[in-house]
Amino acid sequence: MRHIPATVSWLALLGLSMLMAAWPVSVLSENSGRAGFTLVSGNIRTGTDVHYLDARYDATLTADANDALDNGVPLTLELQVRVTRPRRWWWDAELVEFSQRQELRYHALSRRYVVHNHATGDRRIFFRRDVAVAAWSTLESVPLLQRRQLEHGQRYEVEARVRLDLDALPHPLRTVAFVSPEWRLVSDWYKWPLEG
Amino acid sequence: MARVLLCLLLLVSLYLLSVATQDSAVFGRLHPWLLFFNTICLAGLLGLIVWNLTRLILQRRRGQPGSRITVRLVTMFVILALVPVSVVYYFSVQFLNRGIESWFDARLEQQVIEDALNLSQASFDMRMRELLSRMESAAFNLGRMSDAMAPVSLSQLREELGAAELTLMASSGRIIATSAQEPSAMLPQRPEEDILLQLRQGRPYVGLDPVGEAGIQIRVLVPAPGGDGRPDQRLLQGLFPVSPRVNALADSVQEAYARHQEVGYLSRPLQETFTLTLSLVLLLSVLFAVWSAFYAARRLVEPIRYLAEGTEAVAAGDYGKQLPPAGRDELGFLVRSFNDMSRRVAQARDDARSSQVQVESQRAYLETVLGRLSSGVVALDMDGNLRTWNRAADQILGVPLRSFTGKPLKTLLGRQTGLEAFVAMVERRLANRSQEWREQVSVTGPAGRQVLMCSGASLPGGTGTGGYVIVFDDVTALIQAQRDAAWGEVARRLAHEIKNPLTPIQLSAERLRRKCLNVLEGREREVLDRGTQTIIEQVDAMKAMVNAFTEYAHTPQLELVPVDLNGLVKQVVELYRAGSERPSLRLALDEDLPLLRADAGRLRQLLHNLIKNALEATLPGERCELEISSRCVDDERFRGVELRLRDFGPGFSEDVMNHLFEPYVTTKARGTGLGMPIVKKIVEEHHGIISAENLADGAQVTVRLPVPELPVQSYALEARTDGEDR
Repeated sequence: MRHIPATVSWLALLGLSMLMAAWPVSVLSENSGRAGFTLVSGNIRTGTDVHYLDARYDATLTADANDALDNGVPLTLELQVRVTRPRRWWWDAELVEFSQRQELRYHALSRRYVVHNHATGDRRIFFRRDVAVAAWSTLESVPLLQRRQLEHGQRYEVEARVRLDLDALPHPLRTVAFVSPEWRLVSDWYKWPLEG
Repeated sequence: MARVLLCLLLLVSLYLLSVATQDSAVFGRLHPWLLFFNTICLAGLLGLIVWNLTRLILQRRRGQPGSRITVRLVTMFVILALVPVSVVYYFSVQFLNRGIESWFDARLEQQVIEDALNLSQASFDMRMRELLSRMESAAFNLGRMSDAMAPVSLSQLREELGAAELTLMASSGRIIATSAQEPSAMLPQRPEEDILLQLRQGRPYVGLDPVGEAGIQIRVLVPAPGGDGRPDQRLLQGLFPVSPRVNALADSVQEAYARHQEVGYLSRPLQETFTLTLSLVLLLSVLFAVWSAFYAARRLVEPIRYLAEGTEAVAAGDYGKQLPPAGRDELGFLVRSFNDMSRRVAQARDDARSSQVQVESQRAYLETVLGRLSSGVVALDMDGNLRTWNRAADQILGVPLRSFTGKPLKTLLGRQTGLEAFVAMVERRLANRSQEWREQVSVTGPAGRQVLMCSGASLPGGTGTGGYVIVFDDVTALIQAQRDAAWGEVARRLAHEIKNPLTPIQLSAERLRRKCLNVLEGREREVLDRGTQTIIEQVDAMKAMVNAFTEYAHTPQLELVPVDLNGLVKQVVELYRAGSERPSLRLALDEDLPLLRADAGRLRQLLHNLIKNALEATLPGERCELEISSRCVDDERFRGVELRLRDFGPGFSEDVMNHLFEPYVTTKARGTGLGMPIVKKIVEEHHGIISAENLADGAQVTVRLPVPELPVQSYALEARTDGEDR
């Protein structure tokens, strides 16, 4: 008998696995239009030495996320920031890349929502959920980089997005969250120009 | 090897999955990725199985040996693996679901925790209401106080109220004045928007603030009238500490409640995760088992397939086929036995082949020996059919015997007449079943009349190998030589013994005649005259005869020169045309005859003798007709010139035919009887062949004289020298 070449079968296998890997992503991207984060306002502010980012997002939580919040599960917002120098013929040079987290948690005893910024250590307390969620999805005075890190006259780009940090969820929930589109809350990447 | 590695990888991955499922900090983060990786493994395995299955189906459809048993084995293995695993899976899932549900379905505990929370909240509520009313009355008193005086009054007021911090602020949240218990305390925070909103609506705010590690404090905000009767409202915020004991209790209650709530909430995803993990593990195991089933079945069936193929190969004649070894079990033993058998069969075949080769070489050896024999050898089988012969037999009988293999000897007669005597003798001997015999027979071959000395014997053996062998030699030349020698001797003696007394006899007769003829008279004289005349004539005749014998016995030296036979024939014929008998002589001469290397005088005598012989054979009163033809013969047995002399007389009688070329064989009234022997002698001196045969209307004598390989002129001189040397 003539054997089917091993390469063919391996290619078939690879194709199949790629299909499997791509499937959840395609389902999720469909869902992202309804729930997630959209930028309401955002701007780069220049202090004496430092450039800051102020960004306010409109957060729409899914039923599952709301449910989890009600049941005392903290939700963590992750702000991902990149500062790059665009290059015409090559990949953009990356100056800074970091992420910042802000946690929203319901405190049952006090019936209050606590927003905790991990970077600054600030805790803010709200009794109304909508205000709390708005405060959670607002990141102000996020230091980007020192002014001296930028070359004078050079053009830079600041990119940022926020997403629900699934890694911060409790373990049992995490697996479900990774698979389920209900938990894929993420904003688009927004770009701001920055002059050196 | 790859299979073992894959198996290990899968096991490690499954182990990590199980560890990760148990809320481990390290692997917990890996859990989704492990799931993803395992899913890919799953897909891979599925692909492998589909591939194997397709292959198996194709093999089955093609009817490849071993495919049927592979299908059966795979089915069996799969069923064996699937059934117990499915049962375990079913019960595991059931157990898992019930177990998790029952763990988190502790209603009593939930109730207690909720009650504790409610109680705590109620107790805080009482305290908050009390603080609110005190703050409201304090705020009312602030109406008379201007912003400038506020810090002093606030400090006093704070002490009265027992607050940790007291702050007066504008309705926008701007701080007017503040007083804190701890002098080192930082500037108070501006109230959040939702609180300010509520206050702007004229409603006071009271609530618990969970301030991280510091525990809980009570925040009260009440509207305060503007200073100096101004219309804009101000806000008074007081922060009240909670006793450490209460703080600790509240923390504990909150902690317990949050944990309980979270765990309760997480029971469903936990259940899903466990089920998912379990299903994945099960699927992986089952698929791995199925794949392994294919592998195991193939491994098991492989020797069987090899055996089947090997058997087919041996059946098709491919002996010596060796199968790859197949372990030490019974199948391996079978394969080893097969290899052994195949090897032995091949060895036997090789032995047979080598012995065949040996036989062949012996046969070739015998054939060569037989081929080199000058005696003809013919072997017949039991039924008298031709089996073997040698080249000499071909040549002596003048028939290519190859085309008569397996046929009776009688069929030879269809090709070559003249062998009747030989065939009849052999058949007679066969019919008599003579064991060994020896007989001389005379046949007419291509070279004319031949005398064969045959000896036969029956071969040992039965139908296949037995038969008869006949060896025969052409002894014509031998006999002829013997006869020639004998006749030569006779001639020499005759010449010697008879010729000597003849002369005295003749002289005496002549003398008698001379002396007495004149003396006698009458009748006596006539008698004497006739008697002496007769004596003299007869003595002359005897002398002539003796001379002829002398000539026959005497071998003159040949003078070999280039000779044109046609020219010679024409010369001789001219003599006869002018003769008294005037025979009718027709010539049919080939003008392209090559030159012969011969003695012209001897050849002339040959022609004279032949023509004379024909003339003498002519019946009295008839006119002699002679046809002389010449042609060039060039075939594998003879290369030279053929001369034919054909007359239309009575032919040779059967009696004469056998001894035609011997002296004193004649049917004619005239002649010495030495004409034809001399002809034969001349032909033999020139290494030629002579034969005579009877035709329907007369007789024909054929003389064949060979032509030298080199053109004759080139060694004419040499021939002369050669002749002299002899």
